[in-house]
Amino acid sequence: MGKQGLIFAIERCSLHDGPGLRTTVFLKGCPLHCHWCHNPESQSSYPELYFLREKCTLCGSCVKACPNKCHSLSVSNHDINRVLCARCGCCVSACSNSALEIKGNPMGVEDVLAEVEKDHDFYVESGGGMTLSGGEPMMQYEFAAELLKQSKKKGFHNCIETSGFAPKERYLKIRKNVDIFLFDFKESDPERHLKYTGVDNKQILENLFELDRKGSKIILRCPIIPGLNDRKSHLEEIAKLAGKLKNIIEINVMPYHPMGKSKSGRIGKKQPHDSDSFTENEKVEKWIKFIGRRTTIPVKKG
Amino acid sequence: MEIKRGKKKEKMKKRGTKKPVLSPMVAQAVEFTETYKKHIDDHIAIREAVCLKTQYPAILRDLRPEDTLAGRRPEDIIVYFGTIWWHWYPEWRKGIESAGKQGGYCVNFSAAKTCAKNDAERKVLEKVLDFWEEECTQSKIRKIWDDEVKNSFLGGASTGFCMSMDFNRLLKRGVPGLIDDIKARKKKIKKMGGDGKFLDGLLIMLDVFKDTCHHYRKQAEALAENAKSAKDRKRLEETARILEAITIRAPQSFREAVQLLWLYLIMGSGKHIEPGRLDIFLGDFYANDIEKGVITEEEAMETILALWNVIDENGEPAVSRVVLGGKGRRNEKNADRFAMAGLEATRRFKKVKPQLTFRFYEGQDPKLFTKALDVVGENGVFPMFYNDDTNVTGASKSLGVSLEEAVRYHPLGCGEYMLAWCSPSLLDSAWSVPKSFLAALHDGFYCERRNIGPRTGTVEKFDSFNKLYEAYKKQIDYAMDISARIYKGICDGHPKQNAFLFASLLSDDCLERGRAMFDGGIRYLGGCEMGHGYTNSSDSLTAIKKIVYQEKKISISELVKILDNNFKGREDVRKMLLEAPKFGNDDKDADGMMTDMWKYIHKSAKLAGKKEGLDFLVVSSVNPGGYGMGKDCGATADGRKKGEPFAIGMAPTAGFDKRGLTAMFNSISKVDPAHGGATTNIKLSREFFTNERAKMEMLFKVYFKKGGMQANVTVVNKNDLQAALKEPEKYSHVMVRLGGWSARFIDLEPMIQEEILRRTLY
Repeated sequence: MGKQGLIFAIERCSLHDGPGLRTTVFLKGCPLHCHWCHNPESQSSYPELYFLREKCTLCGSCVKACPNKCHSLSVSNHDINRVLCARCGCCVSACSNSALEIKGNPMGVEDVLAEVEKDHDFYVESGGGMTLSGGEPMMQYEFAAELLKQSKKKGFHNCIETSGFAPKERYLKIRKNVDIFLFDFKESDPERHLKYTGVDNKQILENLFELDRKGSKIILRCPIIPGLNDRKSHLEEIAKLAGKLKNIIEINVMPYHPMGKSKSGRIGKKQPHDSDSFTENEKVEKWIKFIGRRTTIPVKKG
Repeated sequence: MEIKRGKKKEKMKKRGTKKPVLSPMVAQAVEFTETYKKHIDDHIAIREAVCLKTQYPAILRDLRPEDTLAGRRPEDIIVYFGTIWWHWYPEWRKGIESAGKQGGYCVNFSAAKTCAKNDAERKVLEKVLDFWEEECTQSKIRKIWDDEVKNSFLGGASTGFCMSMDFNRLLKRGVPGLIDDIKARKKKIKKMGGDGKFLDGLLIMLDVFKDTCHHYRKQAEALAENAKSAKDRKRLEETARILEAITIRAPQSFREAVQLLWLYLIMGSGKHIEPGRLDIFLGDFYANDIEKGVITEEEAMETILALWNVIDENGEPAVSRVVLGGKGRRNEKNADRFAMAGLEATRRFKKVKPQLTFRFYEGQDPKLFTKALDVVGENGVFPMFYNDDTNVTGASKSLGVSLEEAVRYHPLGCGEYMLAWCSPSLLDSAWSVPKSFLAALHDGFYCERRNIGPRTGTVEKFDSFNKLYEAYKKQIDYAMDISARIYKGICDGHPKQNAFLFASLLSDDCLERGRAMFDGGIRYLGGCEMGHGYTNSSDSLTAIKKIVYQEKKISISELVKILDNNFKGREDVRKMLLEAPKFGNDDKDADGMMTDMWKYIHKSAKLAGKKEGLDFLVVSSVNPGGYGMGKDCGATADGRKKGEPFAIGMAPTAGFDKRGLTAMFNSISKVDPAHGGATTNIKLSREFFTNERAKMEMLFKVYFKKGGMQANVTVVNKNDLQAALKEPEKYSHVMVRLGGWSARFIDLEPMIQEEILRRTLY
C-alpha cells in the first residue's frame, strides 16, 4: 500500500492556484497560525469535527449517536465538547441534515491521483495541473513528496502552495517535481511576522532565496490584511523582495476575506483577526498599483 | 386601425335592423367568422386565404413615428388564423380553466367576457364563440385523440406549433418572384391533373401580404409628413419607399431584406415568432451593402438593433430565437460578418429577446466564439452555446436524417429540436419521467392511486434490479406510445382544416409538391416530447441499485412505503439515498445509469414514432418545466421529497453537484447526443468573465471538445442571489468568485452571503 495522507478537500476546476485549470489538493496541518488564516480547518494535523450551525434543527440524533457524549442540546443551542470528541464520525452518519462533517480523510497517493486524473483534458488545453495546498503541504512531507513524484510521472504540471516554513533540504528534494512554487510572503518585519503567524520569517526567506538560486519558478503570494500589513513599507518590501529574485514570474496580492473567520466558528475556534468585511476592490487595486509601480514583475489579484 | 366595415354597415341598413356599431376588434372577429362560414365548403387553402384577408392588415398594430420597421403583432385576438396563439380553450366557457397553445383557427374563448365593451357586443361575441366551439382547430383535433390519449398523464397537449421558415426563398425571389414560381408550378400541376387550389391560396395570401405592405406604406408616408425632425422624416420616407419596393421586386439592400423578412415573419407565425438563422438569410445583403459603401457598419447596426427591438416587442420570451454561426451555412464568410454584428447587437441590446443562439464547430472562425463569450459576460444570458460538432451527428441519429440535413437542427422554444425549413415543431406535451418511474414501483399506478401506465408487476416480485428496470422500461414505452399518438392526432387533424399558407410557402417541399405542409407538402412530420426529471429518475435507479440490491440495507417494498410516506420518520433512509452517487459528479455508476436510461428513452421514442407513422419522435430535456412538474410528483428514491422541483434539463439535481464544473462537464459529456434537445444551465458570477476570462474560455473549449452539447450560461446579478437565499434549491448552481476563491453561493454561511449581496451591485 502506498503512503497515506490526511486530505481535507480536493477542489476541481480551481482557477486561482497556479496557471490554467487545476485540481487543488488540500493537506491538513500547518506550523503557522496566521491571525487571518483563510483555511483554519487546515491547521490541526488531525481530523476535526466541522459543524454547520445553520443546518442544525436540534433534532438530537447526534446526541443519541455519540459514544463520547460530546453533543449537548438546549432549546435553542447545540454545543459540542471538542475535548471529548474522538472524531469517530458516528454523529456525522446520524445527522440527516448534513450539519456535521469530519474534515480530514486519509487518502492514498493513488486515490488522490485518480481524482486528479479525471480532469486531464482540461489541464492539457489550459496548461493547468495539480496544486498542493493546505495547511502547509510540507507538514506531510513524505506524502506530499510522493504525490508530486507520481503526479510528475503521469506528466502533470505541479504547483505547491507553501508558507515556506519547512527544512530547506526538503524543498530541495521536491523541487525537481514542482513546476511552480506558490510561495507565501506574509510580512516583511520579522517581529510582526512572529506576532501574526507564530514564527519569524528568517528560515522562510532563506528557503525562498535558495529555491530561486536553484532556478525554481516562483509566484510570490502576499496576503494583505487591512490594519495588519497593508502599510506602505511592507508593500514596498514586497516589490524589493521581488526585485531580488531571478526566477519570480508573478506577484499575487491576496486580499483578506472573512471566510476563515466563518470557518473558524465551525470547528469551534475563534479567529484572532476579527473582521467580517471583504476587502474593497478599490483598495486591492490601489495595492496592486502601488507595488506595480515599484517592480517590473506582473502584479495580480490572487 | 383601418377596418373595412363599410360594406357591413350598408348591409345592415338594407335589412333595416338596428344593429350596434361594433368596436373594430369585435367587428373584425365577426367578419372573419362570416367569411369562414361563407367558404366553409371551399378548399382549405382558399378558405384560409380569404380569412387572412379579413385579418390582415386589420389586426396589426399601427406604425409609430419612432419605428424603423413596419409590422406589429396584435395585443390580443378574438379569432385568428396562425401557427400558434396562447389562449383559453373552449372549456373556459363551461367554467373549466384550461388554456394553451392553439394552432390553425385560434379562438379566445374568454372574449365575450374580456373583449366586449357592452351587452350588445357580448351577445355578438357569444354567437361567434358558439360557432367556434365546434369549429376551432383545437376542438377538431381533440376529437381525433382517443380517451386514453386525452386523459393521459402527459400534460399540456396542444395544437399550435412553431416554424423556422426558409427566408432564403423569400429574400432571393422577392414577392413577385414567388408569385411567378407559384404560377409556373400551377401550370405544371394543372397539366398533371391537379386542382392547384393550394397554389391559388398562396397567391391570395401574397396579395394579402402586398396589401399589408401598402397599408403600412401609407402610414409611413403620413407619419413622414408630420415628422418632428428631418432625420425622422428621412427614416420614415425610407420605410415607405422600402414597403413599396418589396411589393414590386426582390429586395436589393440589407434594410429591404430585413423589412421583408420581418413583416412576413410576423404575419406568418403567431404569438411565437422564430427568426432562425439570420446570418444565412441576411449575411450577403449585409456584406454587400457595406462593401459597396451603401451603408456603414454603424448604420447596419442600427437596422439590426431595430430588428432586435421588434423581436423584443412582438416575440415571446420563451421563443424568438435568432441563430448565428454553425455548420450548413451556404455563405459562411458573409454569414460570419453578420454573426459578429448580431452578437455585438445583443451585447448592446441587453434584453431577454431575441433568444440569441450561437452555434459553432471546429474550424469556424474562432473570433466568433471569443466574441460570444464576451457578449454573455456582459449581457448576462445570451448567447446560448450549441456545439455543432456533437449536435449535428446526434440530431442526424435521433431525427433519422442525413448529416447534410441534420445541420438544419434547430433548438426551438426552450430548446426542443426540429429541422428548420422542413419540419414544424409541434407543441408540446410534457412528460414527467419520474412519474413513469413511480408507476413502475406501483404496478402501473401513480402513488395517488391513479392508473397511469401498464400493469408491470408489484415490487415484491422484483428480486433483482434488472426486473425493476425492465418494469420501468415498459412504463417508458407506454409513455412514448401515448406521446406518438398525441402528435399523430395533430398531424392528421391539421390537413383537414388548415393549409398554413405563409409557413408552407417557405418550407421544403410544399411548393414543389403543390401541397400544404400537413397535407403531404412538408418533408418531415414528427414530434418532440418534453421530458422532465431525467436526473431524478436516473439517480433514483442508481440509489436503489446500490442500497436495495447491492448493499441490501432495505427491501424494495419497504423503500416504496417510505417513499409513499414522503420519508416521514425515516430521515435515515433518505440520508442513505442522498448519499448514493449522483449524476453530475463524474461518478462512473451514476453517470452510467443516466447514459443507459437516456439511450433507452430515445430508442423507445423512435420506435413509438415509427409505429404511428411519424417521421420522427424525439424527447427533449430542457428547462424550465421541471420546477412546476416536481410540485405535482411524489417523493423519489434519489432523496427528493414530494413536491420538490426536478433537476432542470441536463443539470444535476440541485445541491448534488459537489465536485465542481469540470466534474459536471465530464458527466454531461458522457450522454449520447442523439436526442431531441438538451440544455445545461450554468450560473456564474461576473468575476469569472472579468478576472478569469482566459481560463473560462479554456474551460468551455474543453467541455465542447469532449462532446459537451450545449451551455446556457447565466451571469448572476443581485436579484438572483437574493432569490437564492429564499429558494436555495433552485439556485444550487450559482457560483461566486470572491477574493482568491470560488464557491457555490448556497453553501456559504449567511453572514458571507449577505456580504456578497452587499458587494453585488448590478
